[in-house]
Amino acid sequence: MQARDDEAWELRLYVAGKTARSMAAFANLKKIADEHLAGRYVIDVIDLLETPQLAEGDQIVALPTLVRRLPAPIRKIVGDLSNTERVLVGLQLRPRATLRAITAADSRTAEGGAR
Amino acid sequence: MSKAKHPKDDGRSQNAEIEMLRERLAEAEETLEAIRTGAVDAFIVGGDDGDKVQTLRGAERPYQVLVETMLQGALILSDDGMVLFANRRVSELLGIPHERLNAQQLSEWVAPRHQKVFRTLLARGLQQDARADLVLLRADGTEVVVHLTASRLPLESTAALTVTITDMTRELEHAELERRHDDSRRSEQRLIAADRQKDEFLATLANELRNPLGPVRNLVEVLRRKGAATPDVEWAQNVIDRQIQRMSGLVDELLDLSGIAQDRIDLERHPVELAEIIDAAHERCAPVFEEWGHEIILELPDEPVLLYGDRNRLVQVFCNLFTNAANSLNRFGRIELSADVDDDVVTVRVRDNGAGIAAQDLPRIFEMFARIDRSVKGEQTSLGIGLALAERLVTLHGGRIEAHSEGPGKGSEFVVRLPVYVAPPQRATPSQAWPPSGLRVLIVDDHADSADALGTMLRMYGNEVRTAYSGTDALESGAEFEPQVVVLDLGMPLMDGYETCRRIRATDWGETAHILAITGRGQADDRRRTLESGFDHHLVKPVDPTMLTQLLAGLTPRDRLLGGRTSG
Repeated sequence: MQARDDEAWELRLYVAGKTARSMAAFANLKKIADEHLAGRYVIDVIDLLETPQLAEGDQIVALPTLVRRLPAPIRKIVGDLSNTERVLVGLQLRPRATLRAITAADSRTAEGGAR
Repeated sequence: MSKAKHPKDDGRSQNAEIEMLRERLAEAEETLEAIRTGAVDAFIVGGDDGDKVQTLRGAERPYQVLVETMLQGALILSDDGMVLFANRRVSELLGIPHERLNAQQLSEWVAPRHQKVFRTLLARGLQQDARADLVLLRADGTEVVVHLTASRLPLESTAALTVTITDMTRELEHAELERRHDDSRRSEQRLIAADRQKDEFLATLANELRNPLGPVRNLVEVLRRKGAATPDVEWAQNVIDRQIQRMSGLVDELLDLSGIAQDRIDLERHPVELAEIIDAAHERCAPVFEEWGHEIILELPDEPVLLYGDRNRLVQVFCNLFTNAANSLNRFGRIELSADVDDDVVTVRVRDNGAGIAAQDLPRIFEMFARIDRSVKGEQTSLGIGLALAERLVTLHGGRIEAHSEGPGKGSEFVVRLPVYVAPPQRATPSQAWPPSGLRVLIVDDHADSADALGTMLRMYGNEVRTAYSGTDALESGAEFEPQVVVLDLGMPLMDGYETCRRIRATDWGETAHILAITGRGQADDRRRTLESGFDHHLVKPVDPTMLTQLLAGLTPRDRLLGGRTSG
């Protein structure tokens, strides 16, 4: 479902230390948030090398991972977030249809329209 | 996690659930994709004691970059000093290829005299943070001063050391520069102090030299008045007189030199007449002109030109200009002085047809000691400050001086401009004056020759004179003699001039006497002090006889403060 304009977003970026990837992920995330969620988002960066116990809550598998905790439902995106389209779709800021046409093969017909 | 809707709800909730499943599937697929394409740093791995982060290779790259590019050398040593890791800087610093460092003892490159320091550093580093300054040896044998730090690095099973190396060469250079800077500053201060001492010495010296000059001058005057027995004697007198004047001149220059240096030239300004001053300067320099056969031409305005200045100093200015001109001439040269008045400025030009001044020397002509080589005679008769002094004096009088010359061999011209004096309304002349002769004068000076010589001279002018050679003598003598005038030398041992003056003022006869201070010191501070100490006048050695007699002639009797007799 597409997010409503007045909702507050809570985003969490899980990383494994200050690596090139985690720094890139943060930078990309910030850019996207500023452009599409200006003024209504919060980003928490959680370094699991420092605080590994915090991973359990969100069922993280690999790092870096971006988690959208609010608005519900929870969404997860793994990687350095350099593919802006994928991030926007993953965050439900864009309809999935366009992306699914490009990525994995799908037997279902492409679904159009709004949710 | 979002709430799952019961599948038996209406069709819309069924759609919603399908939608949710789709999302989760998509997410899972993308996660797998990310992992497959190596887009991750690490996994979360479950273990016996909870989840752990398992980093993949390449994740620490920023740290690696940091360590390789930082300006310090960084190493990991085993606890016995063997190199386990060394960054690029270490091999650069030591001039050794990277490979050669590994598994070597770092002590190989520590200067022999610092081996012990190094061993201590490692030993301490295993316990706590340690630092040391020591010298490393490069591959080419040269030394480099470094600052080392060592700290403990716990590894899995053993302990190791993290060591950093900082090249101190630049710091050392700075320290050296600062030290040299401090040294030169200290030298500068020493020089300034020495310079000041020299000036004080010159001042003292000049003052001391004035003492013998005083009596000699007076006695020359005495001899003069006695008349010359033979032409030889007359000639001898003249020579003595001239040489005294020259010596006096040098001493004055010496004093002026220290005065200029200490920035203390004070003027006693009165209305003075230009022609009188030029004549006096001419007369003073006459010996030199005669000696060398120079022709002097003076062109002065008919009417008197008044200036407001210090007579002696102005005479000095023109004398210096005359002397300067004379020095640049061969025998039988020609010096012309002309003066004209325009509005309120008098312009005096001193021209000579002598050696002239080169263009590049002109700007420096008034500088101290710039004894530009114009002198055609071998001897130097001055200290080289004549023009500098002249410039200073003219400026102090509110005037300007310039030098002009067409070039070497083409003569020179010095132009002095001074403001003309406008007289204020006349002051009333004193109503009653003592006759020019017949004063009772007491001369007090521990320098017997000085006292006697002055006494003889004053007697010749018709005064009744007694001499005393100490303060106590003066009080004794004065009580009986009751002098009207006391000439009192300041620098006497036991009771000095100030004390003597004080005591004289405390007596009946001394309360209204005119007390004249005689001293070598003539600066403003000195004059102020004497006037504040009860003296009436401040005279500087050597005393000009003419001036003294004029002063005496101008004295008026003074009434006592509390009734009583007036002097007569």
